[in-house]
Amino acid sequence: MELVFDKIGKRYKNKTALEDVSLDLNYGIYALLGPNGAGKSTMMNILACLLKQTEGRITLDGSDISAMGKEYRNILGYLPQDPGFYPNFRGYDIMMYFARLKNIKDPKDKTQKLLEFVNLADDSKRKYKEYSGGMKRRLGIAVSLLNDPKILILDEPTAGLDPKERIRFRNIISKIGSDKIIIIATHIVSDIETIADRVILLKDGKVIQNDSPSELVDHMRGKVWLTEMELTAAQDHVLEHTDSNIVKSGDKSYLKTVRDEKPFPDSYECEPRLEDVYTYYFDESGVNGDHADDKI
Amino acid sequence: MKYELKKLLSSVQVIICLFLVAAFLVLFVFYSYKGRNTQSEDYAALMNEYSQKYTDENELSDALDAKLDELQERLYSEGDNVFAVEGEYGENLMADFLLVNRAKNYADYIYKDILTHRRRIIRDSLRQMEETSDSNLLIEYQKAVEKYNVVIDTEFTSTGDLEPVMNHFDFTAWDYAMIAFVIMLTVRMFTLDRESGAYKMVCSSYYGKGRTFVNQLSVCMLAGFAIIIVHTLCQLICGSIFYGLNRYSLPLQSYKYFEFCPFKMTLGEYLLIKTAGKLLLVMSVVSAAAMITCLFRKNIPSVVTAIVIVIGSMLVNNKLYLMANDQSGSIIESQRRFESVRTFLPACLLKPDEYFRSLDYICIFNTAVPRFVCTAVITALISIICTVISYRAFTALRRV
Repeated sequence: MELVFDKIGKRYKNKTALEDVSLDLNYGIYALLGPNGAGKSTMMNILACLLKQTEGRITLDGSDISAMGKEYRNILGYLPQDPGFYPNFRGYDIMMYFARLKNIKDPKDKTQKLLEFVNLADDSKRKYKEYSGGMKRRLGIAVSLLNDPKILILDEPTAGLDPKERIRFRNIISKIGSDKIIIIATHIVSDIETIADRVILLKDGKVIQNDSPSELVDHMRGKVWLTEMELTAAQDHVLEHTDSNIVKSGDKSYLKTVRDEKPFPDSYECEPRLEDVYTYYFDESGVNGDHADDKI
Repeated sequence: MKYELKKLLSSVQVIICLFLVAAFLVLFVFYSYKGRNTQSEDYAALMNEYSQKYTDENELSDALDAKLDELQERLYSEGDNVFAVEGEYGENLMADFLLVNRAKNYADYIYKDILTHRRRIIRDSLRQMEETSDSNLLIEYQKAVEKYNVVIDTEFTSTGDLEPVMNHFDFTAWDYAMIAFVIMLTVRMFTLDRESGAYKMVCSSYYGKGRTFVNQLSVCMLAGFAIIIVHTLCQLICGSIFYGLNRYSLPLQSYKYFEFCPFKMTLGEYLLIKTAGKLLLVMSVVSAAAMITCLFRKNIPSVVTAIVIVIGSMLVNNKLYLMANDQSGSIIESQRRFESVRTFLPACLLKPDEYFRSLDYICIFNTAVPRFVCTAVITALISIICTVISYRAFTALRRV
């Protein structure tokens, strides 16, 4: 299965949300990483056929998805950024309602299995308004999986979740299977660090990087610096430099800086991580320049 | 549709609306009980006795006249004891007098008044036909001759009281409230997905927006229909129990209120048409409210706009009705305005008796068409247009 974004653009009256986005996606987990307002949700909405692009087209195995209609929606699972259901519906009823909307042949059986899969079987009789934030997200994932989708779109799936629920979410995604195209839009690096096959960096509506996490991290070698520093000095520094953050180790405090050049004479290189990629590309201080044209 | 109905009923706003509908209906039943006709059985017995005893209408009229004279004499002779003397049909002598008087009036109405009035209309119409050169008026007079030159199979029997039932159940406050409820139900249904956040997931599912739209619209219409049908059933049951209104096969003209109805129809047929008209109106209100909601996409602005438009049109109708019935000023001009509004405003279907109480036709391409049919067709067209626009707005790909 091949999902191709061919020069996708989306313009509103006085704003460009997406510009010339071209991607080629196959089975695997894709992380769409970018700050708020980068165009992630617009891209997800276009992919879910909720919004029409102003330029380009998206094809699935050569067919335009906007012309595929039900055939496309039949293999699509979508969990939007802020999913909500009917407060007075029970979890089970929500699943059954969507099972009918998704034309599931054996809705009861499928609902039961998925509720068990997301660990909500015991809470299925409770009303949606009584669910915690994590339970609501898990129910959303279960709903999006009802039709066993080949393309699964998850828009900011961990927003507002506590660490325990985040781990639970990662475990669910890794269990879903490898026979799907899973696209996770997020600005939280730790959510996708261990599960994503490829990371797509989106900034100001443009794709600025598209590679595997390890290659993106490799690209950062020689750009991540540690400097031992007094805590107060480090705190003053990070207030003015968004490419730096404080790392504590025992009694010592360090300043971690993501920058092309050595920031201080006594700074030394350290092992980069995926979050450093995020800091490097989405730093707003301008120290590292605009990396939109960088190619690895 | 089961889950759409469940969605609708899961809203507090909808539950409040339905509670108010129930409260209104309880109130109607209570008032119709309080104002019930306690003499309807006595009257029915009297009518039954006379209709069996006298097959000839003249003999029956004479017998009633004689009975009335006799009762008048007895009333005179008994003086203050008229309420103490036990009556033959009713509780006392005075009740007997009132019952016989009512029967006599009814006999005069069905055996004399209907015929006399119709003859007069026909005679006047024929004369006018000779004098007028206006083709539309000519068609109207021809229609009057055609429609009033028919025999109405009235029957000397207890018909029950139609007008009090109409007064207890069909009044303006209820009309406004019912329409407002239907609007609120519809707006709630069409904003629920967006407000809850389920909209995107609903739209990206297999059946998507199209099926969801159809189901939601159907549920709103069913909810509106249910209100109308329950209201009608309450009216029929109360009419039958409290006002003896259960002879649905009688000609509509059996009721003096509908003496000049030009159509040959029974009371049952009229009530069916009346209910159908109201259902059609609900259809148009639901589709208009759905259209406004699909365009506005927000609960409060949609409710306010829909109520202003729909209730506003009803207010215009009422104002013109009052002006038309006002004895001062230019009545003819007001009447004309009222009639033209009645042709185009779906809200006028709430008071369908206005279409059936007189020769209410309009000329379209030299053909006389009942005004009720025109209003019904226009209402159906409005429903279709609003549904198409709302479908397009609902399924359009817009910024979500």
